[in-house]
Amino acid sequence: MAMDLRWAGLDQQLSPRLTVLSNDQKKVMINAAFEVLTRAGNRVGSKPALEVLRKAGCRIEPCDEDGEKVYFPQRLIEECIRSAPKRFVMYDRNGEPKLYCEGRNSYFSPTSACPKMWDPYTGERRAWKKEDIGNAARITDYLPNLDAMFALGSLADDYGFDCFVHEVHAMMINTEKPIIYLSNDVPDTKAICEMAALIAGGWDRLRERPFLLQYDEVLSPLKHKNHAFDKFCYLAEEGLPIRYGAFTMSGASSPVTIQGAVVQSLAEALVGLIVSQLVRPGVPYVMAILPGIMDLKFGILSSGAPEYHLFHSLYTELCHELELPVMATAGITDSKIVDAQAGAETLWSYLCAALSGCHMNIGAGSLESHLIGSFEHLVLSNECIGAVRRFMKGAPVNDHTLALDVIQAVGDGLPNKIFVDQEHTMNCYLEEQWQPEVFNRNNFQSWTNKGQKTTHDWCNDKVRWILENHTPKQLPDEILKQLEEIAQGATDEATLAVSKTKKAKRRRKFRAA
Amino acid sequence: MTIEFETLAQAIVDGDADTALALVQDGLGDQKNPDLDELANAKEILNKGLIGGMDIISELWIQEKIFIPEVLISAKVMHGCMDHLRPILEASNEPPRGICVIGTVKGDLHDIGQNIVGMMLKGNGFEVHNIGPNSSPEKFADKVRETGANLIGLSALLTTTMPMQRESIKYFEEEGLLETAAVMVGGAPVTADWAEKIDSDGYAPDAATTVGLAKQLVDDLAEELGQVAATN
Repeated sequence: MAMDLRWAGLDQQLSPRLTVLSNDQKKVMINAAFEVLTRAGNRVGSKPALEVLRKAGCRIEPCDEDGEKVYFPQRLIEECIRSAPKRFVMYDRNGEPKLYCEGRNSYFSPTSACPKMWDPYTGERRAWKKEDIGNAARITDYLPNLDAMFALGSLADDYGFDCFVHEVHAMMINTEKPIIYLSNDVPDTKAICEMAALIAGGWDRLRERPFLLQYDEVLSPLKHKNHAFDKFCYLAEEGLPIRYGAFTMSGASSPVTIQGAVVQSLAEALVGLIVSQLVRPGVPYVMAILPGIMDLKFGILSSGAPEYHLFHSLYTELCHELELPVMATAGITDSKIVDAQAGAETLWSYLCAALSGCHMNIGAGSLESHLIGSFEHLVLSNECIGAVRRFMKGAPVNDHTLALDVIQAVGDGLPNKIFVDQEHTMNCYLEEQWQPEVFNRNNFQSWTNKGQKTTHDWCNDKVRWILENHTPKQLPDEILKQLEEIAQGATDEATLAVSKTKKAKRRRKFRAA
Repeated sequence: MTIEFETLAQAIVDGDADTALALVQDGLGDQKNPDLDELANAKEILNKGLIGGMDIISELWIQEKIFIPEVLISAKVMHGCMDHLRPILEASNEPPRGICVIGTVKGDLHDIGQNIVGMMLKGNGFEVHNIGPNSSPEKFADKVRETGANLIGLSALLTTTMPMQRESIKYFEEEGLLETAAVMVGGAPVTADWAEKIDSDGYAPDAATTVGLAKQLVDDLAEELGQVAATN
């Protein structure tokens, strides 16, 4: 039994997708962002950036010691958008293409700079060590649904402003996956790119197959940090990719209405795009956003709010409309532990991210909205993304999936015939059905026999198993040695020694509210 | 005519600037009565009316019953009323509840959190000097000397700039400022452990609880200085 499906085009499925805006609304919002760029001053302090902007015909007015106000002509905005590549491919450490930031593809990675972490063995909330960043990279290296690595934690406690080179070093030697990184200033970025070129086999090879992407943020509202643009100018000159966008808090650093916050954030990311394209036309540029919501009761940044997901989806839609690669945070929870709230907020966030087709999504491993790093949450994220990816495969309609032959065979067969033992089932159940690893589907008795474990327990078991069993592919000894030297060279030992020994003396009783 | 302090406090709570200002002006009108002490009158309006209202607001905020915009609107109304009381209070050299220099440490450009804290302190009777983001220890110290501040608020939003809180405190100690001023630290990544480790005098996890902490620190300091004065 079969139907003629040859001409209907039904096998060319419409992938599951989320669309919030009409085409007209998208155009209005993009034009609103252009209006912000032409009429509201964006504060820029970086000298090399100001120089290219002035040359390109921007109106520049004095503001304060931190920068000047820049107004962009419409012509320039449009030219720069046209000049930016419409797609961006990120490679892994071995030079293999991995992340195709184009179309509606979605990729996922951990977040970065969580000040504290949950120790998977002691359960203690504590500061990060370099070894922990390495462990986060090893876990990410192992988990199939995490596509790239971002440091998850911060080594600022041990290394101060020199921490970023050490974070990249720990990541590079513990995972083959593409790496997103933070850096403090141009020397930092140079040291990091030098390490990357060493691994890639030269600067030309690195430019051709970038496996590192630098992460920088706007200081919303409408302020652009000097060192961020100084670093851009360096990266653009070197022809290396740039990622930039707002880490905004709707209600505090951008309007409380999501639509206004999206327009402002879009304009802010476009300022970076314009600078990058002026320094080197055609340099890969990723439009970024951290769509924070300021909770106006607690004064904290919320990443689990429903408005967050709406913000994320709107921004992604506008970047799709502009045909620009887009990157956002996703999967972050406000919960302090891996619990029901964490599960709900994480899954919802990943689903929205994938449905709206945001190319790169960073956030795995982040509890308390970026303040606590959790290896268990990396495992939970891997699980949620797995489920989302199954959903995103959607439903191609063809003879095979309609399975009319099998339905007929079962119907025409003996009365107790069922599908479990059919060849059709055998042939495709593994591909058809996603299997959870930490979401438990046991019946009550089996679950009890296994110790009545919670999701957190299962995730913790998996973390320990990975740490005790997974060894990432090692780099050659000679490269390892040179990487170590560059990392050590970036540390100002003298400054560190002073700041560790010298201490003010306690004079009165400490008060904590 | 004597004003109802409860009505004034309620106007502050409601963020009703017109009513609050009218009541304060009515209250000050009483000064024309020679039997009333002008300063005592102004102080009563301040403490029973304005601060009374802000105390209610603080309590509602701590109880998670109201939102930050409501708190800040009440604080703004309070500032507006203070403009009328300040000349009288200043003329009599009446010290404010506390004098606070607040800012974000050097290297850190984030200032939203400390701006909210600054507005809250101001709304609760503190004299606040907000020196903004990216402020060096020297800039803090200069402002403390200039204003005679007894409270310093150091904000940091980045893990990389938190050590600057420690460096700033060390600098204040070297400069001898900590004899007469207490230091409190805050910011999203800052914890009580860190605050204690770097020898600050106090930590509050959010703007709602900062006012209580600030009062506590200023009281502690006054007691300490009182004891010092007594032993001398």
